[in-house]
Amino acid sequence: MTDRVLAFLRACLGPVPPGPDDVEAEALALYHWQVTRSPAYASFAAGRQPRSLDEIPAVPVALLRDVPFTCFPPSEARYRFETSGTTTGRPGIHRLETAAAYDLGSAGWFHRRVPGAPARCLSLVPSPVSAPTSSLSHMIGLLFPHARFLADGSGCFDPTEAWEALATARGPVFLATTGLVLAHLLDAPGSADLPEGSLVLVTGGFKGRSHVEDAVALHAEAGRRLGRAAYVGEYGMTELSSQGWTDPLPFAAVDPEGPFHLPPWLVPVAVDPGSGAPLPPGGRGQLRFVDLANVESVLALETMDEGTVLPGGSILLHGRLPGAPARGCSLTAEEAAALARRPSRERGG
Amino acid sequence: MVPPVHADRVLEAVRRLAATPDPGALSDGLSAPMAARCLDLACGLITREALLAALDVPGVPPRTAAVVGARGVFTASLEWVALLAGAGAEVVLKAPAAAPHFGRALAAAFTAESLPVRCTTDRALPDTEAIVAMGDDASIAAIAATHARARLALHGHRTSLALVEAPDPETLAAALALDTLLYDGRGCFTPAAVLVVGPPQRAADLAEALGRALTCLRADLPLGDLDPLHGPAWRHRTGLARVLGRLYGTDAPGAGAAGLLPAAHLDLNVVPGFLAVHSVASVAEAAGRVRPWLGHLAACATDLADPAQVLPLGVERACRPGRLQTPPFGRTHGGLEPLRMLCAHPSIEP
Repeated sequence: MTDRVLAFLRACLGPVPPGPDDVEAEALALYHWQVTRSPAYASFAAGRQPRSLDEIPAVPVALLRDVPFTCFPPSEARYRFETSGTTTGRPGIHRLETAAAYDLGSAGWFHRRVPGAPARCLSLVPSPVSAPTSSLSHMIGLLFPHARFLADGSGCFDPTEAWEALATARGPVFLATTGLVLAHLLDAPGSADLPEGSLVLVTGGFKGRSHVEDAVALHAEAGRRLGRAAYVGEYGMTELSSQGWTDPLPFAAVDPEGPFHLPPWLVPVAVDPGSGAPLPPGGRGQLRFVDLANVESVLALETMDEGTVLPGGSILLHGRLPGAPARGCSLTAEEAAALARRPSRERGG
Repeated sequence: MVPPVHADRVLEAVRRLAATPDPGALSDGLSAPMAARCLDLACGLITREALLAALDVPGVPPRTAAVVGARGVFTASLEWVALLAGAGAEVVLKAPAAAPHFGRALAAAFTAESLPVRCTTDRALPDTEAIVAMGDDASIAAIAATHARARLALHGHRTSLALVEAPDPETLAAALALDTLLYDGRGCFTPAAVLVVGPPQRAADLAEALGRALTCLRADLPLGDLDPLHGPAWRHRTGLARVLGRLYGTDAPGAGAAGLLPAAHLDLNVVPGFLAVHSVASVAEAAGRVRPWLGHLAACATDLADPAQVLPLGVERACRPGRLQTPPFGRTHGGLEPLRMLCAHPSIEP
């Protein structure tokens, strides 16, 4: 099945990608394969026989804190991507036996959506070596094998060193950050006249944390202090193998809600959070995803994010469902900042 | 000694309130049968004997008092208003702005008996000698900080549970199903979980019986408006039960289900209509499991021979299964009768 899904992902990245019906057929086939191999998913699905993509039983992401959803013995996982676990003390774990589908999909879709991205990367998120359980670090290492990582394994970085590296960069730069990491960088004095073609990756939300109200102000500040660099937003999560990307935009034109453009094999479904029933097209609701690249784990997941599915399958991300606990890779940076006792905006830094 | 100056009029006001023709309209979204049952139970607790006993405490009762109601258990303010009005206080009932109907009906019933009870939805509380408040912890803290000179009875968010031996699972399940479903699980006395002491099979038998009992009772007490946020929690908890244990009951959020789960997955956050059942070896193990919620435990229902056996859990109240949602009128709070907390207690030197 892994080879079959890899071939499908390659086809999706090719000149004539499969259509929605093909994606649905592939998803249903993968579902039936997974429930015969994943005891946890079989128990969760309880014998349900979906006839369409949005009927595939979606596992709440929080269950990955408690149960290994794998189609192989969990002890044989070569990759263990973990959520921050801040809210419960127990991280959610996405176990993979191989990263083949993850890597093929992530790299392929990034280069499709962000063509001409600079090859030179300065990363303010940790390297995959120092943070092997971070899916974001894995992705950055995959997309930029020669990236310079300025953060240590716990996410701490020296803003002075970061500003110096940015200010002395020759040529366009890809700056990898999360929303909170960028905020901490901009909390420190410094600026860099990054040339045209530079991109600043911003991923991870602010919702429910310290910078909720600051996203727009943050982007304006980044626009003032990072030269002619443009913004590119990423939507991803530990439990998904695939990501969505915004178009690169000048910081002044950024809408934090997106849209995020998803690969054909990552299908969003907005549901009524109360009933779990799919909403009519354009409805604002709780987001579920069917991710064919989650070939060895579980393909259908229910997030605690609120969004709108646009025609064509892109999404607007409105944030966390009201009352949902904060989470995401931005948390690591915020926690690291707290540990390092750096002044945050709330403390007047 | 507080003279029971207005007991007859209070009882008549409660009777008038109980006769409200459309309780559902007062209930902030409960189904009509559920609202009627809850209102009937709440009013039924205020008997002449209970009222007179609750008023019979030492001290000087407040001349003015405010009662701050929260969304959730729509009848929660009734006992306090009845008590304070019975003691002769002029009462301002602060009803939730989004759900003022019960407060207005309550005030109207008491006013009709010439008892000075007024309902408001204004955020600013009047200056009163005493304040009773129910609400989330932040609201309670704010009231405590801004009204420090008043005599206060403050009730923040709490959670409840059951600790049982379950020798008769069918009877016990019927009682716990009532505790679980009344008020659609909106109040502090809704059990979030049942800990079953003894062999694991007892927990399994109780979970199975609970699944049936919850589904059956739900037919009589239909679900009202469910906060959409309970949907994800329902799918998480029922999913966990399917994967790590066993799920009994219905799949639709709030409809009624019991989940047999390992005790390591004890979670005392209520998911309306869902009751988790865990097996524990002893009361001591149960006490250890609930320790993370210490200070936030309201009540424990138990079938142990001596209900006091559950006190090591750190609960404020122990009762029998089926009685969680109907605490006796005038029960003590922190060892004190409710009116005593709100009375002045000057020393008198002859």
